[in-house]
Amino acid sequence: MAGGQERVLRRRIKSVQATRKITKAMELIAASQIARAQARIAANRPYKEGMAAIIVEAAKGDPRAAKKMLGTPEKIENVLVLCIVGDRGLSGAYNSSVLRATERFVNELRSKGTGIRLIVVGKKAAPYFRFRGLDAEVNFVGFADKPEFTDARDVAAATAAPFLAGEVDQVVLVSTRFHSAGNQKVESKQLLPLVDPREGVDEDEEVSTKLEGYTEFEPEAEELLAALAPAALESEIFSALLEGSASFHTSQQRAMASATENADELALSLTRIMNRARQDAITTEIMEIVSGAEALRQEKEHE
Amino acid sequence: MADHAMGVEVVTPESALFRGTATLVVAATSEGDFSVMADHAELIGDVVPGIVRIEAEGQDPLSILVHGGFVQVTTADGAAEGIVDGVGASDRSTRVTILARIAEIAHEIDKPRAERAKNNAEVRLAEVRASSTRAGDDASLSEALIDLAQAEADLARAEMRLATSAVLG
Repeated sequence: MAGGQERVLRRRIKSVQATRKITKAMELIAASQIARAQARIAANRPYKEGMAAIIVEAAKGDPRAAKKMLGTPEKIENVLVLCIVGDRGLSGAYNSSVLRATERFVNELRSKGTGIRLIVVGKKAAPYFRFRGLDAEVNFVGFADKPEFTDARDVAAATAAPFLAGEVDQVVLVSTRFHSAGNQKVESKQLLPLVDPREGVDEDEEVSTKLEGYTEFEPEAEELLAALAPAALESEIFSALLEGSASFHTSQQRAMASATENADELALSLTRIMNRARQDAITTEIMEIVSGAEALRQEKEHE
Repeated sequence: MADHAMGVEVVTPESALFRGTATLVVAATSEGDFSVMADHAELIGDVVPGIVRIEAEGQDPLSILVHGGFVQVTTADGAAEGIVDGVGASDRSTRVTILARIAEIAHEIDKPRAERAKNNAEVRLAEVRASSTRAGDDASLSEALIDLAQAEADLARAEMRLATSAVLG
């Protein structure tokens, strides 16, 4: 009877410890992936910054063309939302916080009567949106963990097409940005039209940089901007993918570390319960023996 | 040396391929070849697929095969900081940044791999050409055209790699 309870507990402890082994392994793997993902973000930085600097110069070179191609459109009737999540779960709130932010954003736009189209990266997104009656027209799967630049090109091609065809007025990206190892945030960002780099720069600063010198353009600034736009979009998406993957691994590491800790706690409290059950069983047995012996002794005295 | 040196960077999205000092950089934009030496005027432009040559004093010139990209030349106080050693903060220094989606150092090109890539691209190109003539509706036609362009680009890249490594490898 009591031994049965002990056996059940022992089996549960074993199962908790087996789970703990898995979560611990996942934690260690995620930790090593974080380092790699961070190194890739660092390797991408010179390209990203160079691209931003060139666009600033090109936009300064032909402000009229820049106004046409960059900046927030005045009338937004249709919006394409690009949502980047992971391919796998077991990563804490990483996927769900991006998905919920996207849903909130979409609902807000819809209440204003804006048309919505959706492109998603990551296996975890499509089922979430399908359940909520919002079908993603393209779903990229298989590279959220370890994105390559060619993946970014594919995503960029798919997102740019409806914009270039005039079907949507704006493309917005919702993804997790990796600010530092301890700080990741879900953010939304306008991808297309490209954000005008001069927005938010105050006038004086602009004048002072203009005095710096005369910049040559080959080809003309307008043509150059047209050529730069797709490259800038690819660069933007690639760094979002890289940051997404780094955030995913960070979040997974954190989730698995706390799962391991919980497993330890659970195993400890189960062990305590099991020990008490065993002690109870022993006590009961002793009591039985003692009272049995007592009964025998009294019987003898009566004789 | 400090007078003639400029900071040069060739970066791709995945890494910085080259980062150092040079006295001369030769490349080609869509409007023609150009070369940059220290104190060149500020410039931004596109870089057409081809070879970018980087020459530094006392070293063999380095050739980098760039599959299209952009170039920016900036001249500013301390612009080359961190790249050019020994340039005083008061010097007006020149910095050349070349951004390329794909680039490779010419003598490091893997010839057998390029050969294989070329064959693959040729096979694919033939397939796509055949399917694009069969394509009935507009959607599949435009898809076929995209595939065609991609296969052609792959073939051009592979051929360029081979040509480069034949000359410089």
